Amino acid sequence: MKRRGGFTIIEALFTMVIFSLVLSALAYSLSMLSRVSLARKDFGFELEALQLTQLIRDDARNASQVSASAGSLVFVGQDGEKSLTERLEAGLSAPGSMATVRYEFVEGWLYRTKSTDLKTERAPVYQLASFEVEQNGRLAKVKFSSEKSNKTETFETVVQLP
Amino acid sequence: MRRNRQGSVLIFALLFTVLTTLIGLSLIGMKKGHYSAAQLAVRAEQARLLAHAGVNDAIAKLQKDPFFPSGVGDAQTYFSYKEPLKLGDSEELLGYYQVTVDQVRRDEEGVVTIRSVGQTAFSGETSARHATYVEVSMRPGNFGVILWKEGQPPR
Repeated sequence: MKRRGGFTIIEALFTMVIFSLVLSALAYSLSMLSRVSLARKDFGFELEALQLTQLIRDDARNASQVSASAGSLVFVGQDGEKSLTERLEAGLSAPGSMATVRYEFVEGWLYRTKSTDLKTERAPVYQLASFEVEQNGRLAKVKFSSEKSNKTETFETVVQLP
Repeated sequence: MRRNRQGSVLIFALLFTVLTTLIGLSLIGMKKGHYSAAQLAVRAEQARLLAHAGVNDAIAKLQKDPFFPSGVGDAQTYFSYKEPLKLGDSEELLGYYQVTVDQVRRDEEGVVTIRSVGQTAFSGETSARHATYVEVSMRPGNFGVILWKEGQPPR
């Protein structure tokens, strides 16, 4: 007579407690996950900007000649793929020892093209919203922006030119 | 029949609990992996900057002292030194850089090569290493970097 339904009141209460515990644990996990995801997105964005800055600066360090325009940068310097012995044999400023690196912003992508007397390699570096170069004497101000998850961020870096 | 169905909701609730916990744990595990990868990227960047600090230290010394790293009349051509880097005035160690200066080609070609290895030093965390190779022209009136390469020297 005590048990009319499929389970008792104690069982029902126990089930409700378990459900509420599970739901609160899920809510807590989701809030933590969203925090980690947001942090990672912001962080990943800045890291990409830093990597791009490093890449341009590394090429600028190697350059002995540079030409900059609104959407492109061209560096001419030693070919880092050839050993010092080979380059010294050819002559450090001989054409066989030099490489040209060109950055171009085309249809939302920044391309890096490296040309030597033997080969030319062109590769997309990052998808950007904008890329601008402003030369001021021996300094170049590189401005670029990126758009991710409906959020646009602009970065600016100064590169020392030869 | 009714007697056999008693407690079936409880069993269902328990199964549901186990299932949702498993899904939640796997999601957290995935995110933890992503987070660790992002942290490793930071360590790698710090190691790279430590290596750059070593290169800049050696270049500054070469610029200031024409006889660095050897003394006058010293025939030694290969030198290595290691320096720790601390955060500001604190005792917290950020990492090390180990610099190797090779001046075999200094007299004939006027070129000195520098190899710097940066290593992060965080207790209890994975450390990262990065190497930077640089060639410096020591020719009179033409002092400066002629090649900057991340990683190993070109072969």
